[in-house]
Amino acid sequence: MQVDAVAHWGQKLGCDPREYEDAYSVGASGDTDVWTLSDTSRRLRVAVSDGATESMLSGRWAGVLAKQYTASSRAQMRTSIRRAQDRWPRVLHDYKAAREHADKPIAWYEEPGLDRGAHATLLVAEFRARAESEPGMWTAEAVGDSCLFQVAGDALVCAFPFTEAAQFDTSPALVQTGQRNRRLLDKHCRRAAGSYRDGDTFFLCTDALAAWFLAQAERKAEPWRIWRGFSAAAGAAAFREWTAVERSAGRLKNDDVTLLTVSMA
Amino acid sequence: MPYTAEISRANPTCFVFVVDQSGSMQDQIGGGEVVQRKAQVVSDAINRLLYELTLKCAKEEGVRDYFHVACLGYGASVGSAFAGALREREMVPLSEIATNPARLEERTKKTPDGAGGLVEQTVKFPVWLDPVADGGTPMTQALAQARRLVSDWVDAHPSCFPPVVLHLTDGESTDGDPSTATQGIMSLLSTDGNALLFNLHVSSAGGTPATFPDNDAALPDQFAKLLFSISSYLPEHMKVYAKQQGLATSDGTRGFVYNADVTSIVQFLDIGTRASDLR
Repeated sequence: MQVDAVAHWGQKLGCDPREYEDAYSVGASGDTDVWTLSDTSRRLRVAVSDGATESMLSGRWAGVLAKQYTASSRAQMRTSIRRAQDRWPRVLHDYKAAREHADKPIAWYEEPGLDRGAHATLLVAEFRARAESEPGMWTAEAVGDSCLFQVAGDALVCAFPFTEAAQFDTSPALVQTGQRNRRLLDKHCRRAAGSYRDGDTFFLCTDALAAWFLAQAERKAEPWRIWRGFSAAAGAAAFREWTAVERSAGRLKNDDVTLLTVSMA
Repeated sequence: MPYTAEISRANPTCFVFVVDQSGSMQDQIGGGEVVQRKAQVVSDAINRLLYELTLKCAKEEGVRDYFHVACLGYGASVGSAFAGALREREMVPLSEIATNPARLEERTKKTPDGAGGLVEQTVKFPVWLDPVADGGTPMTQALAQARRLVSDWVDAHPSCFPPVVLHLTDGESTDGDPSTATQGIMSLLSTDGNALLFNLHVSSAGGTPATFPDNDAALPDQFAKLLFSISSYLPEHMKVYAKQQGLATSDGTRGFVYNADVTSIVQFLDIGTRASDLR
C-alpha cells in the first residue's frame, strides 16, 4: 500500500514565520513524501504538536516532542515523551548558550517562564500495513486538542480526541517539559485505534483547523472535500489562500495552523 | 458576541490603572504582624499586575505588545504615576514596560522542593511604581483623564478587546461623586463591547475581604458600596475564569475587590493557549 503524507502549515496572521509554534513530523525512511507500506512489518509514524502561546520556547518543545515520537519505530507516546523530557535540559542549555554568545542575555521577564518549562499538545499516530486485501491498522494517542480525522469515501469515520467544535477552549491539556508524573499524563492521554482501506484519508491538525473542521462537519458541509484539495505538495499556495479567506470571514480562529494529510492510495 | 475579540499585536488592547496617591493612603490597614500602608498595598498590586502581564506576553524574541498600559496617579496632582525612565509617559507598549522598570528588587519566595517541603528562592521583582501618599483626592478628575485615554484608544483601535480600567483607592473622593466619570468610561465602546471598569478598594474599615461579589450586603461602608455600584458587571467568559479560581459568580457579579488580591484579572484575558499545568 502506498501512503502519501503531505504537511501544510502557517503562522498566525500578524506573526513572523519564525514565530510559528506548531510542529509536525513524519517518520520517514528517506527524503520523499511518499512511503510504501507493502511490508507488513513496516509502520508509518506521524506526530503533530502545538506549543502554548503563554509558554517560553513552546515551539521548540513542540518540535522535540514530534520528532522524538517519529524517531522511534516502536516506543509508545508515553516513552517518547519521557525521552523528549530527558533531552530538554540540553536544548535549554544550548538555547541559553546561544543567547549568551549573541550577547543577548536572558532578561528578567524570561527567567520565570524558562524555569517553569515549556508546554505543548501532542497527537501521534501509527499506521501499520497488513497482508494484501486486508485492511491496515492505525492507532493514535493524544494529549490536548490537536485532532485526527479519518475520512472514508464521503463519510467522517473517526474524530479524535475531540468530536464537537464546542469542546475547544484556551486551556487544553498540555505536555510539559518538567512534568514526569505518569499518573497525571495517563489521566489526560486519550487513545484510539481503527482500520483503514485504500482511499481513506487521515487529517492530523492543530486546534484552530480542528475546530473549523468539526464546525463544518456539524453543519453537513463535508469539509474534507476542501482539505483533500491541499493534499498534493503543490497545494501549499491554495492552503495559504484558503486560511486567509477563512480567517477574514471569521470562520477560522487566527492561530498557527498545521495540517498533515495522510492518504492511503 | 461581545468580549471575544482577539488580543494580538495587530489588534492590541489597553490597560489603564488609576491609582489613589492622596494623603489618606498613608493610613495603615491590616492587623497582627501584617500591617501595611495603603499606598504600599496599591503600588504592590500594580507592580504585581504589570509583572504578571509581562510574563504572560513574554516570548523568546521579547515581550509582545498585546497590551498598552497607562498608569495615572492622583493626589497632589493628576498624571502619570510611572517612576524611572517611564516617568510622565501615558500610554506605553508592554514591551517598553518590560524593559524599563524603575528598578529590579530581589525578593524571596517559597517554592516546593519536590520532596514535600518548601525552599526559599530569590527572584527578581521589577518595580515601576513607588508608594506615594500626598495631597487631596481628585478622583473625579483622574477618572475623567482615564476616560480621555480610553476614548483615544478606542478611536484608534475600534475593533479591540474592550479596554480595562483598574481603579485602586481607599474610596474617599474630595472632588465630588465619581459616578458620572465612571459611567463615562463604561459607556465607551469598541465593536467588541463596552470598556470595563474594575475597582480595588483598600480600606481600614475592616470587614471581610471580598473578590468579585454579586451584592454589597457584606461591604462595611458607603465608600465600598459606592465603588461596588460603579464597577462593571463581569462578562460571561470572565465569570468562567473566576469560577475556575474557586469564586462563586452570578448575573450580579461585578469587577470589584475589597481588601483582597486583584492580580487574578490578568488571567481573565485571553491571548492564546494558556500554559496550564496538568492536574
